[in-house]
Amino acid sequence: MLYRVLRGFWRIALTVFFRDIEVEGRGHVPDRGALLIVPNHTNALVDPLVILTRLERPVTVTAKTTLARNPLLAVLMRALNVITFQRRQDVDADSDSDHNARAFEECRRRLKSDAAICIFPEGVSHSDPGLRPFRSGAARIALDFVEHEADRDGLLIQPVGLYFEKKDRFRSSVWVRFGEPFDVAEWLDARREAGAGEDRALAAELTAEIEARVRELTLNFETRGDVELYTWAAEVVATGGREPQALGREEATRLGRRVDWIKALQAGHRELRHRRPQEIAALEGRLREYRGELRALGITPAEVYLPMSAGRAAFFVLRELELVLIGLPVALWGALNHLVPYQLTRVIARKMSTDEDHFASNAVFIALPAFPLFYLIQIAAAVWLMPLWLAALYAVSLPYSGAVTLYYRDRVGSIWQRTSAFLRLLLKPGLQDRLAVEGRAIIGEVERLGRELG
Amino acid sequence: MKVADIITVAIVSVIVVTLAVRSAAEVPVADDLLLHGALLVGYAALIRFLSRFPETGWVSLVRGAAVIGVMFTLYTTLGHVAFEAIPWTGDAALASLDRVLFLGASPVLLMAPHIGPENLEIFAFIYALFIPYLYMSIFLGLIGRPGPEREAFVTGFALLYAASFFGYLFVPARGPVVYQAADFQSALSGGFFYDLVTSSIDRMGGPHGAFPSLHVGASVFACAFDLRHNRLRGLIYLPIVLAIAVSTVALRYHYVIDLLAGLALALLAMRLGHAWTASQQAGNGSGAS
Repeated sequence: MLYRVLRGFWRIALTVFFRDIEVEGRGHVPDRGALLIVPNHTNALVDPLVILTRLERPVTVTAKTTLARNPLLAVLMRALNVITFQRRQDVDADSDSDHNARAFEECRRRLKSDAAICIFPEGVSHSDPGLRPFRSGAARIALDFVEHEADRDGLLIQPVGLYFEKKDRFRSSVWVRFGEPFDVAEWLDARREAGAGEDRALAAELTAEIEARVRELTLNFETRGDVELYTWAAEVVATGGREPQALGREEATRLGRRVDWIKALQAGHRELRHRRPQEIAALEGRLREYRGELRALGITPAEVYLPMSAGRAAFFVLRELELVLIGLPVALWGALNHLVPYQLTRVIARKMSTDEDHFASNAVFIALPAFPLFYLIQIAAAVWLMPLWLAALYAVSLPYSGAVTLYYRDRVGSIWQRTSAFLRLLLKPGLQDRLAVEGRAIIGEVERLGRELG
Repeated sequence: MKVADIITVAIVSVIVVTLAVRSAAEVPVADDLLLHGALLVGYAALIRFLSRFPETGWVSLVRGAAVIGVMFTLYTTLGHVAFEAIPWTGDAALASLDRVLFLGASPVLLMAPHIGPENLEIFAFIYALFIPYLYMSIFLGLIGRPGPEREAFVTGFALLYAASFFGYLFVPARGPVVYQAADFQSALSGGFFYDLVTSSIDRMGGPHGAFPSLHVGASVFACAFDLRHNRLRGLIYLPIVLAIAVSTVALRYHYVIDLLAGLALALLAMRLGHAWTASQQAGNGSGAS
């Protein structure tokens, strides 16, 4: 019950923080049976929340013992029966030497009752461009379970890939891909038949298997420069040289699609970098130059292909102006009523965040008590100052106007961006044609190289 | 033929057949029979003409506009036709159902003492807002949407109106403002917006077509459609749609049961509109492959 209530709150919190949470492959996740969920770990406490809130079945989370040093988190962790593990670097003189043995036993007990356990094999949240080396904890839990519960149906390992568009930015997007789970007992049989070695080697091999499967689902770059290059190239290629979607209908530029483009580009780039170094270097240079120019102009790659007809522009103005004008009073009301908790959360979360991957977690965990608390204070004041029916109306208006303000803010930002891009292209004759020709040429070049690779 | 076309042809045919039967029984509805017969033939001819062209942007736009045009025509003609063609009225049953819903009390009468001249103007203004909201929703529903979404909108709209016309035709009712007129302590009288509302209703032959409420049905349909495809617009108009529903009772045009029927039909039309469009698209897709 408590789990469901908290999951409901987290769902709301994540829906508020993230503009879009795209989920792929949810059908791969079994509804029942022992399951070990193994995602990559790039956004601290938000990562388990994204997993928990996207699955209907309850998920037990594992965490490092040091998190329980925060008294608030400790209460939450106890309430949710989080299983804690002591990492080697966290061991000190006061540490309980049997802690991890008990944690393993607890995992086995829960898996025996068909629980789903989520463990992050990287062991730490980070902002590296690629996966960090996987630790053997997940593999050891799996092998321990299979060894002790040989008579039971197989334990499945569920790889998960998480990708955050801009993880420290409010109203950015998240993409979650659940991969195909694999049966540990079957994997073990296959390895043993192939003459696999001791248990220790087995754990290392299973860890490598898990890492390979998670790697398939995630984006991994060698350098931060690569992150920018591929992301930008994917944005350019994903436009297809066609006019952008209407505002509010950006399905074609969704994150999952972009991730697929990035993966395809990476594969091609790796292959061609050695075979055609000069061509690839030239294309990279051309792309960087194009990106630089569009950035300086404040135009996104898709907006290069904006239709410039007067009729389309008039329709855009009519459609968006209706929303802006009719929505303005509610949006202002919402902004006014949420300004204090919003700013408080933002400022404290920024102050507490020492790394890029902390902000979202801090914001979500501060907002969860802050907003209900402010709601209570505001409603209490309304009951004190107004007739009851008006106070009730005010109470209903709080979450409603908050939701409108949130969507209104997103939409007005998009309207502003698109309008300014349109005006820039309109006021500089020839600019759109030149940019469109260059954009399509780059796409053509990428497609040509892709075709040559087969 | 698209589902919206089938619905449109079906409802006009039902009306034509009903009028033909009543005309044969020497009820004076020959002019209405002619008008609705012409509407049926005209629409069928247009659909046949449009079927010569591939379902490109302008064709689906014209088709959608034609469906909505037919429905709006029926909305204006059906009120008096129902009272002429059908030998019973539904007001008594609807008022009784309202009393059942409100444990013996009439919600319209319960609300009446709270409607003074000032808030009457506000309710009249909200009631009148329905028209620009509906027209803008239809405009945005037809233009600037991807094809399947437009088709779902037109299909749902056609289904909602056609189902409502069954109510107009076979449960003809004038609403509490006429049926319960004697029960109110005083008649409503207001300022500019109330006069605007009453004069526009009088121009359409006075209050009619109470069951179900298309004010609620159409505004809920437009809002629910937006909540699914354009969430911000749906959210912004949600309180206005609720206020429109309240205003129909405040102005005594509808029983509460009419609102509930309108709400149910709108949600059903929204669901079936999407489901039928999706299955038709899937059928076309498999046919093509």
